[in-house]
Amino acid sequence: MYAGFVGYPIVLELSSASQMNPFLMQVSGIWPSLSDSASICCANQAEIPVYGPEGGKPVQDILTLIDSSMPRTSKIICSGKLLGEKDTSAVVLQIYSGFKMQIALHSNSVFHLIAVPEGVNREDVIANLHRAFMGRAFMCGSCSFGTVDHVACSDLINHHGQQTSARGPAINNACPRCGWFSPTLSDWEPWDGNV
Amino acid sequence: MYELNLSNQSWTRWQRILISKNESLSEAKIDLILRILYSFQKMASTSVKEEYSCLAARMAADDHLDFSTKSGIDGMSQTLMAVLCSTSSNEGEGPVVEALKSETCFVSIIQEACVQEVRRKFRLKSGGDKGKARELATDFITSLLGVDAKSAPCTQPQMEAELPTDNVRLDCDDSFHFDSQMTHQVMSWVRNIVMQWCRAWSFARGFCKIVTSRGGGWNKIERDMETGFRNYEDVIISLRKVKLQTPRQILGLDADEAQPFFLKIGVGAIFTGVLD
Repeated sequence: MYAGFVGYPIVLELSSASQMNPFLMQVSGIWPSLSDSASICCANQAEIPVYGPEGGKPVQDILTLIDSSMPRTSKIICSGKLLGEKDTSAVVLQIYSGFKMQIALHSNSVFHLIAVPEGVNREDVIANLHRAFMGRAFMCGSCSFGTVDHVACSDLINHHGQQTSARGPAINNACPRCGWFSPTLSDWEPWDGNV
Repeated sequence: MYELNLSNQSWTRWQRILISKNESLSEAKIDLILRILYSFQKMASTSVKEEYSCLAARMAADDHLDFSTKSGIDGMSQTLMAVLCSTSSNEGEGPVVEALKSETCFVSIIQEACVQEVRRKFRLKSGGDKGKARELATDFITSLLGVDAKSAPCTQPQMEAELPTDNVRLDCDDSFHFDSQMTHQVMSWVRNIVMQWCRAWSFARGFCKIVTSRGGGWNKIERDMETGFRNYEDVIISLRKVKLQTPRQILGLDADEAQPFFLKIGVGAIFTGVLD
C-alpha cells in the first residue's frame, strides 16, 4: 500500500556514500509537471518506466513540498506520522527517513535549478530515443548502427531508391553508416538501445 | 528595422558580445525555486532556521570559513540555502548581504565544493576504498606535475647521518612540468563547479536585493504565494531579470588569470580532499 502525494518528478543519483549523508544525493533533474507518488511507486514496483511530458530519463522519485496553493492541507500531510517518518519517494523510501532527508532534497533541488544550465544533454537525448523508438526500430545487421526507423513496408528492395516526390529525396533503405543492405526487414535486428 | 545603406548610422558595429541562452533563469524554474523555498520555510523548525542564520552570519563575518563536514556542514547546497532563507527571514540589509559580498567566503565555498567533488570522484574510482583512493590520487598528482624517478625524492641509507630539514628542503628539486592533457582535465571539472557556484551566487545576490526591496519582505511573498500567481508575479518578473554571472564577472578574472586559478584550486582540492 502506498500513500499518494502530489509532487515534482525528480531524478536522483545515489551512491553508497549518500546512504550515510543524504546531502550526497545528487539531483540531476527536476521537472515542473506534477506527478503523484503512489503511481510512481507502483510503476517502480512493476518495473515500468514512466516518462514526463518533458522527456529525459524515466521518473522514479517525487519531491514532495508544502505547496503554497494548498498550504494547510499539504502541511498536514507533510507533518503526518507516515510522511514524517518516511519520504514517499520510491527509491529513497527504503534508505532515508526523517527531516534531514527532506532538507537535503530541498537544498540540492534549489542548487540544481539555479546552478545547472538548461539544455539538452546526451543522456536526455538517448532517453528520448528509447522512448520514441524502443520496440519498433531496427539496427544494422552488419555494424549494429541504430536507431533505424523502417516504416510502412517490410519489402525493402521495392522502395529502395524511389523518389518521394518530383523534387524530393530518394528513399534509402541501406545502413546510413556502413551502407549494408538487405532486401527483407527480418534481416535487420531489433534496435538494442545502444547509441 | 531596415536601412538601405549600410554606411548610414543606423547599423552600428558588432560589439563582440554573443547572446547567451543561459543569462537568466526561466519563469518555470523561478516559480519552482520559490515553491521549494516556501516549503522549506514552512517545514523547517525554529532550530533549523537558527542554524542556517548562524551559518549566514559566520559567512558574513569571514569567521571560521570552514565548510567541511567537520564544521557541521553536510552539503554545500546548505550554504546557498542559508543565504536564501536568511534573506527571507530578515527584512532589510543583514548579514546575508555582507556574506554575499565577501569574495573570501565565495572562494572558500568553491574550494570546499571542489574538495567534495574530487573526493567523490576518487572514491568512486576506488570502489569506496579510502587507501586505494589515496594511491590513485598520488599517481594522478605525480603524473600531473611530471614527477618521475629522477626528480622524485629518495631515501638515504639508514646509517647515513640525517641532514637538517632546511638543508634537505634546499636540495629538493621543486621543479614541475604540467602534463597538458591532465591539466586540461583538472581545469575542466573545476571550471564547471566554479561556473555553477557563480550562477548560484549571482542569483542569490539578485534574490536578496529583490526580497529586501519589496515591501513586506519574504513574509509578504509567502502570503502572496498563498493567494495566487498574479499576486507574486512581480517577484518572478524581477528574478527573471537577474543576470547569472560568469567566473570572469564575479571574480574579476582575466582569461590569463582564470586557468592558473582553476588549476590551483583543483590541485589543492586533491591534496586536501584525498591525500590529507
